[in-house]
Amino acid sequence: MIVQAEQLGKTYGSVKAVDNLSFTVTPGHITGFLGPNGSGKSTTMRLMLGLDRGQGRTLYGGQALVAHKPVSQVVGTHLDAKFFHPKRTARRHLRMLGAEAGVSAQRVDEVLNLVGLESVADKAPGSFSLGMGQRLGLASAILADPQVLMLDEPANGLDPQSIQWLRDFLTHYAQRGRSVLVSSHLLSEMQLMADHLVVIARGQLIADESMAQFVARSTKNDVFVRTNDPFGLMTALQTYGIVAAVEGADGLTIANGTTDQVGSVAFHAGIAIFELTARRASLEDAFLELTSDAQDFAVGGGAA
Amino acid sequence: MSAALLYEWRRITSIRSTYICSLLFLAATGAVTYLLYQVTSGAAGPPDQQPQPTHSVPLESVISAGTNPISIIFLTVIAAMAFGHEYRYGTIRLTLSEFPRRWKVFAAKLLVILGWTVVVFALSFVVAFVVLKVIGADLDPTTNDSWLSIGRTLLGALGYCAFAFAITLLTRNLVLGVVTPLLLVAVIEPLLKLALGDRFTWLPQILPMSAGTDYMLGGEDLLHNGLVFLAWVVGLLVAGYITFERRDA
Repeated sequence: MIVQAEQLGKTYGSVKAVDNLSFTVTPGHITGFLGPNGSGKSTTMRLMLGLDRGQGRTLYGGQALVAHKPVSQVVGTHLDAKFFHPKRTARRHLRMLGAEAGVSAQRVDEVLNLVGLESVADKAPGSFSLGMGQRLGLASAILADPQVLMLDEPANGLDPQSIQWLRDFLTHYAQRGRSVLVSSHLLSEMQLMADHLVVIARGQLIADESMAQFVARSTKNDVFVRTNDPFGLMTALQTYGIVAAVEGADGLTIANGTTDQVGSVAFHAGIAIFELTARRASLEDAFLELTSDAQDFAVGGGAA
Repeated sequence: MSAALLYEWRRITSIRSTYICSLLFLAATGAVTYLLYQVTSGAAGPPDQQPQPTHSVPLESVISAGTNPISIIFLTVIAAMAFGHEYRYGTIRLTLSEFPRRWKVFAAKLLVILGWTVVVFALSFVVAFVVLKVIGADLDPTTNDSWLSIGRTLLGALGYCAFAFAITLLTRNLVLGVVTPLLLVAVIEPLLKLALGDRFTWLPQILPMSAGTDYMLGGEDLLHNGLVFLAWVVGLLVAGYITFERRDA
């Protein structure tokens, strides 16, 4: 089911938390939702669910959420790891949430088993760790097997094994033709998980494109070559319009060329190459570059 | 709507505090019934003034056992928890994610709370009767007035709970929802009446909890008191619903 957020807006006093934001979450993909702290990610998700009042609309399969029934089979949400009554057992919490879609007790057990909470199903979640709370939140999101999953920072507090499990689970979920929108501050994790990105800063859209396209926008994508004649190779490259800069004693960095081009030029110039590497920027590199001037709550400088 | 009702039913029945407050209400009702019997029969007085073992008690005494502020506070806690717990623990966002039409959530919560109040209130009569039987008291024969009195008391208790429900929704605060009606009935309104004296004589006539209490206890001007209390309850519910509809979850 396709999700279309159209011209979403939210203002707190004079501050525009979300400003005319439009994007699409497509089925079969995990869409990563990124932005610096305070950029409006959580507010956007709440607007999409009708929890916050603001401007714009969100369509699920072409219809507003209120037009669907049961709603929990359309969208499953996990917005916070602590959204539960501390004394209501995990099983009863899910039984309550399953009422809207008529979820069976058997399905509740199945989901508890799936997220690894079956041994604490009848315990009050007030004593749960953050990771267990995340699992319970995820269980409530997937309970009615919804067409769309909307998860806000679901990997916070999870151990590495659980993060890997979450990644595999969401990948499998998306492969079933479901839409997944997931926000996370763990950019390395997001790079492994998402194949499409929506990036916002100060409530405005910075990027809505594939992971590959977004990362390719970083200036840290370059080619490194180590040779016995760096200056000779630099001159040779210049004749083809390829700009190189010296890096280290025998290396060159090329920003506007490929490994194939550099290899060919070196071959024709008779220059030996010891190393030729295409260096790819990480999601973190690209994210930090593209949002560097949009940090509302940036950390301070060095120690005084 | 049925899904919202089932959701709310599961919410209210899946927390221990609902049962604890209900049991405390029943226990308080039983205790007050016993004390009232002791006072009205003179059993607590000197031995030579004690009545015969079997003493006849008017039904109104049994009824009032469940409507004193000490007992009824336990019912208002349950009413206040309907929204109070949801906002305190953030589960309102889960609830409204599943029920984006907010009127359904509001209506389901109110209906389930009022239904629960009716059932527990009915049980409180059973408790009061059992207490009287155990201590060997008899009830006066029931009359039409007795049944009217029961109905009025029940309506008053429902209004009391709806009042707490609405205050909690308006303030999004469980404690305020519970304490406000109690403070109004026990402290604020009596002090206000005392402070006003002979001035603004119309004002004490429209105080919510005074009107509600007078209505429940069958004082003078029943219709006026009933309408004043009803107007306050409906007004607060409407105000609560409007803010619930308009504000962020």
